[in-house]
Amino acid sequence: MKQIYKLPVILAVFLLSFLASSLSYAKEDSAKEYMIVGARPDKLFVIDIKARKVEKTFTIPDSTAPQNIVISPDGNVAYVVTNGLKSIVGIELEEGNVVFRADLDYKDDERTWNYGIDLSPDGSEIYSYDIPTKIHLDRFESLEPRLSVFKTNAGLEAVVAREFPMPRRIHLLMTAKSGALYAMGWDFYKIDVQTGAYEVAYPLRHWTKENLSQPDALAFWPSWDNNGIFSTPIYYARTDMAEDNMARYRTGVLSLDLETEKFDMIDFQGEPEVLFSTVYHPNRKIAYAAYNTLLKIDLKKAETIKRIDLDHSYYQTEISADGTEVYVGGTACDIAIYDSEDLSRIGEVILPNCPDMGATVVRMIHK
Amino acid sequence: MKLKTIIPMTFILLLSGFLSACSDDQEKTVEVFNISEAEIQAGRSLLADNCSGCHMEAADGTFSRISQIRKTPEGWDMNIARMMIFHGLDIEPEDRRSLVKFLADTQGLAPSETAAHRDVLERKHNIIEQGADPDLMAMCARCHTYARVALQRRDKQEWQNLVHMHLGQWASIEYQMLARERDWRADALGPVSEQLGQMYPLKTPSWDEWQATKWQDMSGAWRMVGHLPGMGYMDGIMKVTAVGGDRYDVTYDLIYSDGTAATGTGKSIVHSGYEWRGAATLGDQKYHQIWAASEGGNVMTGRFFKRDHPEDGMIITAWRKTDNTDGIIKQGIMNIVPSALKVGQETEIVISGVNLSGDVSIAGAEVTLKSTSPDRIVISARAEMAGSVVLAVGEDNAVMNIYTQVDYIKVTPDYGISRVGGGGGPIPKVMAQFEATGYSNGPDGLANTDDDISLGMVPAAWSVENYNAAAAAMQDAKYAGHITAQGTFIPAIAGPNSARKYGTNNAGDLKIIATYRDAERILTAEAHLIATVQRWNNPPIM
Repeated sequence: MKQIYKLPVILAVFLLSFLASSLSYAKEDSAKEYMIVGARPDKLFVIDIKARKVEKTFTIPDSTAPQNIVISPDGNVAYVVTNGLKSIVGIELEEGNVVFRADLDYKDDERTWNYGIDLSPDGSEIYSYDIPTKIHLDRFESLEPRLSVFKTNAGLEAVVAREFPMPRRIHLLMTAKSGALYAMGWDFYKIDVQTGAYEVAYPLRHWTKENLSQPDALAFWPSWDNNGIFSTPIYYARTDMAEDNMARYRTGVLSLDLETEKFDMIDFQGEPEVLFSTVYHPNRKIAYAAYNTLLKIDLKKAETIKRIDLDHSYYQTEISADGTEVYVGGTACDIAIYDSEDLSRIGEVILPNCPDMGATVVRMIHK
Repeated sequence: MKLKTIIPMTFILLLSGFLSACSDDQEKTVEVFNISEAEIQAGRSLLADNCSGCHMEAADGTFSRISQIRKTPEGWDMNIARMMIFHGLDIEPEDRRSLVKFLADTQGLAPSETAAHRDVLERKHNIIEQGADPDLMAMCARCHTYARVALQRRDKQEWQNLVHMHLGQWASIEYQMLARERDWRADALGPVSEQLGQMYPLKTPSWDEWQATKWQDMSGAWRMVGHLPGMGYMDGIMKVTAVGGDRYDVTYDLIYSDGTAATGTGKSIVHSGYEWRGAATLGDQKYHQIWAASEGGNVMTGRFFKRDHPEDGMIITAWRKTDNTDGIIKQGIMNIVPSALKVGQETEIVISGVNLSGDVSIAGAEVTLKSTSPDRIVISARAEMAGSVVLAVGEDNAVMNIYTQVDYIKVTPDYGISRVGGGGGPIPKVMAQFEATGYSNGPDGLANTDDDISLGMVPAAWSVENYNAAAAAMQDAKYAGHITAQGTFIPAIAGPNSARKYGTNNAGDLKIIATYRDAERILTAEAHLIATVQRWNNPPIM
């Protein structure tokens, strides 16, 4: 089945490399903003978000549930983690041709899951955090996780170019502008993608913040497309407060500026509230968080300044490049759109045939 | 099948599940009754035919992995199901049943090894497991019951293999709450496997002894009594005819306390010498049975539940009345309904048992015999003085409580679970059944003390309220379902409900309230109900 894509892929790779310089990811005035999102079992959508219109629908071959998505710096290719976390499929966003495929269990007798993906700043390499299991004839053997580096021009049967052992339990990768790779897991690690050396860049499990419990944060959602800063809700308890005091249970926003590589954490509310993701306004003064509710958080005052109920749960929070519109997506088949000032509902996009987005991510591009 | 031979211990070990390579008792000889050589050979052939493609057969006749584990029949069946779903095993249904039988007989669990976890095996759906190590609960029982762990026997290395299987089969296992804050893999492969190997090792005296005990044929006539929570009692006869291979044809003749009768037929099988598993049809209703026989084989206890609604079932006690020679095996009173008598009130009482004969009396009460048979005696009784007295039937007797008033009532279970279902989806609703029980304060006059006396089920009126302010804000009581006059909570349909806040499904956090009127007094009691979402995966051992 993979063979039939070979010719279009070669053409596509050629065309892409030719066109790369003319299609810019940068937020130029002429560039149009698109939202890219996947849905079960095998769909990838290109949405003209300001027009509230699904512009393109692509079918991903050998796909079950698209999850993570990263977009090439030129905005031309979406690399989608799918097939039960076992494959990375590159889809070019004009015609939907498959230009890259790495089936992570290409090694003999291995089953390998991806739990994090990002690209090098120049788009030439894919970083994949992989959890392999050796499948013996009559037993499984859980192996140590690794960072697998693939070349984006490796075609449809891509094999790893470099690989390095990694700590367990990483769930999100992000590349800083400098090319350093950051990984969120028990701690936040900074990884040298050439040597595989890593160090704790920001301790989480091992943080030593006074009177704060070990934090809990399970971020799967990229939030930096339109603001250059990763952020996520993070939960912990004030161990100096009584156990029956609900204010003991704190929610913060943890962030990493992908240009300066500076971490920050803001404690913005007490009392438990389930929030899956946050996104910074491009002005960096406000953040938004969502799950059953949509929150507007004043980052200077470190407090929630507005909260509305959503019509159902949404996993991911996103924002337009101009900062005027907040999007919530994932979970079901609709993207809900809110005014970033007053959180009034100003629109929605319902995906064709109402497919389940599940845990797919929302990405924002300009081209 | 009951081949009786005297053979060396080493051969017994080989026959009975290849449990150990050597034994300190190699010279000892014991009687082996339970598995014939032909059955051993047939079982081995099934293993060789269906499993040896991956599980290597060693020169000593053992199969890798398989021979290092002991499980319940349900455990083995789930194992085979997993091999079919995840590893492409293609096995005929009859071979699957035979393999479960062979493995449960040769590598099963002894009665004492399953005793603490029968509630889960019997598919009581709202069991909150108590008493297990909290760390093992966090490691294992956040996804499935702790019973699923405790109903297996393996040595440390096999527990480690099980951990590797979990890590290779479920991608999110290290990322879930209660796992992600610890090094789950290191803990599971290290101290937890060590602990489980010590707590639940492959080789145990209990299993060795049980294998050396003669397993009984279950043929004969059985008296059954049962309790349907919230509904009443059942009284019946079950006739069991052996058809070979520990399989039985069974007929049922039951009467419920509301006077309705049910008859039916079924087929049953006994695994591991005591694990009775039955399928029966009574009227148009299909039932399953998960019972355990006593060591002597003359008493069975367990649940008799609807196949399509395992939450709806009776708790059964069965006594073997006669064997194939028609001789009386067990005699006595099995059940008295009602179990308590109110002062000054003429009350009809049904006494169920085996071979009941002789005079019927209740100390301090007037008794009128209404009907009598060796299985069932109906009397009318009236007493004027409260107290715990003797009810006698000939030589047999039981305690009868006589009371002046119901002092308080309790609702059981005090914490119930129901699940949304239907609504066009594939998973049926799971009901929750509640029951109100009356109590006397007992000699000390104080409620909720050790001397309080249970007066049995009382007829209550049922209602539902929001459990707390959060439930009230979400209007849970309005959306989550309703309760019938019999105390059955029927959950609402599955799926998002656009009428609800957040478009959420019809889950709810509820108070179940029972109200009972005793003369002029109104007594109430509450239970907590979590009306929750579907289980999408409903294996025999949850």
